Amino acid sequence: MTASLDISEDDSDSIAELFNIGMGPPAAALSDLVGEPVELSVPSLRLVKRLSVAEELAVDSDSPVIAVREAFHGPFAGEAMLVFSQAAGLAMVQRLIPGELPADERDEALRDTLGEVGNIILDGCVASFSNMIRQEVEGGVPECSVGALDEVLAGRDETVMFVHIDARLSSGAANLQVLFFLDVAALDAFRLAIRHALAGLAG
Amino acid sequence: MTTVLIVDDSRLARDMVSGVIKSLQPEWTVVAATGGDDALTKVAEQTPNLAILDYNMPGMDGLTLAEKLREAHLMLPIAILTANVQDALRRRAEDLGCWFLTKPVTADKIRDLFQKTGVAS
Repeated sequence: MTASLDISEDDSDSIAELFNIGMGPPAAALSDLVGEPVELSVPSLRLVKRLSVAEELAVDSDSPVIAVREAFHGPFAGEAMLVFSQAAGLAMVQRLIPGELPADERDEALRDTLGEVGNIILDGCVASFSNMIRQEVEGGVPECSVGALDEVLAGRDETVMFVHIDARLSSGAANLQVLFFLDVAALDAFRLAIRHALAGLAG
Repeated sequence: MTTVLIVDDSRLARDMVSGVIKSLQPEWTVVAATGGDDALTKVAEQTPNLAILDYNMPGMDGLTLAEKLREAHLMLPIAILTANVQDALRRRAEDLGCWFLTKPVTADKIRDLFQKTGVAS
């Protein structure tokens, strides 16, 4: 079956609202973890070529970034990702592991800590979606990587539905970007799932 | 002596759970394992009174590990620790007779788990 490669204004509004709802529990979990409120932007979404995404993220593309990625599949498939600047990643680690880390443990602590933050945010969001659409969505194990923005975003340069949410600690200590890349082959299944979820939410 | 097994591939997560347990029950022993195979080795050496297993781990996931632990330790209280609070996953955990513990852990959640599983009065 070929997916219809467009998103109507109504679908766009519905999908953004479900991502907004879906990010609530993981943002609350992150807030519990770091001990301060986490603020979320309104989700933005559009169909894009995957490799063009780097151009629109508010990250210094000349500096390495830290990404945590998790593939998911079920009635629809794709990839969820958290992207931190190095400064934001280190600030998050310092928040969760207070005190000076030995130099030879910093890299491992960075990957481990941000991997766990990724686990909480990305697994939490996948779970929220699964519960809203009442179908199981399986997530993989989050993987942490460090590199240039276009390297960590790398994937097949195909058209994806791209959803972008900015999350920041209210103190301004760290912000992170939450990205979802949905395979367009599954776009029709995704639309259908969204409509069922909205019908369920409407009671 | 009460022993709690914590299995999580994340050191941060292990340290957080261990820290909460130690704050509530300083005299208890906490044994940490980094994955399923490590956990099975440690359980063969010493049977814990309670096992807390991360769900989303490389290699063997927490539910698969729970099934393996159940084969040899039918009555062992097991909690599945996860941020993935899908209803389907919760049901699979409950079908295995496991408790469900959501990340991040807090003292209240661990205290509640101790009471529900009967490891602390």
